[in-house]
Amino acid sequence: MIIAVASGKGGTGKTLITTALALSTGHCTYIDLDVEEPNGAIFLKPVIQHETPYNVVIPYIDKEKCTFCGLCAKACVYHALAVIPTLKNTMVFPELCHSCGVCSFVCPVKGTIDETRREIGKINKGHCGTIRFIEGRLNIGQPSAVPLIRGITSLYIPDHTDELFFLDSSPGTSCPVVETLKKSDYVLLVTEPTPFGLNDLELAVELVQDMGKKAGIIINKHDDRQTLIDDFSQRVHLPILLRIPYSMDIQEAYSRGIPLTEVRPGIKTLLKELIEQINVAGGEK
Amino acid sequence: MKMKVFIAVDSNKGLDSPLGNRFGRAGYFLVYDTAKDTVISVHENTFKDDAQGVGIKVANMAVDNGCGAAIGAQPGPKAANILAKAGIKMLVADSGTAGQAIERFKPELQG
Repeated sequence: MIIAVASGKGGTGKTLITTALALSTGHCTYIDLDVEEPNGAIFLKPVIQHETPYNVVIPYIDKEKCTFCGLCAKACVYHALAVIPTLKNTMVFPELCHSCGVCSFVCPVKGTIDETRREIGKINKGHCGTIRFIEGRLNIGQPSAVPLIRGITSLYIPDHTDELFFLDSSPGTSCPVVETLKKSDYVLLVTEPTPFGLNDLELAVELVQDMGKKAGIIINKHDDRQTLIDDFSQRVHLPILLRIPYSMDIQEAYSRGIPLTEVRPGIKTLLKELIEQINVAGGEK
Repeated sequence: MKMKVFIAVDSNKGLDSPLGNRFGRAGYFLVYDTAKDTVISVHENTFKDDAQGVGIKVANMAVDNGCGAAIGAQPGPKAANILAKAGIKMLVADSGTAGQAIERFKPELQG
């Protein structure tokens, strides 16, 4: 089963929960897909065995063959090409390229546009005891995380599996999150009982419903006096699977890179039961 | 010396058009000919709401129109790169009208 942990709002506790899930089950794969700021490694302290650069394909223009007709620049919806005929120059803006290949498709002179590679990030693989650890790290300055996330999910996540996979998502509801959730069987939405937490949870619920994913809610920094998340969960018929109380010692441990399972060992049983519960819920599909 | 000038403006009112405070995402572009002292063509900016790469397309428009100078707000690095490579002189102004800017940059537009 592939379980993604997402949130809407940032800082609600995705990594706190995902690393605790991995440490509670032991035999599983933890994948940090928050590639713009991966921090699962701080808690899992994995031994990294492989560091592999991840490349995307971009056009390479042979200026000897190019007639500077400008068709490629006109066809590129991402505006990644500019043609200056008077200077006999076709400029490529690699950071805007989405590797779609339309430029070489429309080019009238065969062999003018070839492909070259550009590194956008790294994939680190290792282990933390019996937990298989994978993370993506986007290079600084890269504008899009999606190609790296897609690369990792296609390389390392099977379409269906009986093994446990935990995917640590980036916050929000934009393209990187969509890419992270695509292969998941179940989505855990981590939130906090504040108006901001609720607002972004509402957006995240819309997203998982649009994607047809099963989902449940985890309230982190729970406070008995706040019922706004409870009210919302009833309205959208989503279960609240776990409440983690607001507590200074958890926050303090987090700031030191100490996983939740060390401060609150009792959470392991609860998280194992939670996985059981969503395993049953996932089977109802 | 005659020269075509690419002017980024907010709305299309000929030389009375106000300059915008953005280059790539301006509403319209006027191509002004210094020899004829008139606007010879107007181009609506169909790229202005695109997510990325707007400056590239707009700078390419200046190149395609054979302009020797551009007037407008500070362009982004990609647009500036293309303009510089193409030898198009960038004259930064983000207030007043197109006509006032031409008046102000007269020495630079002599070539």
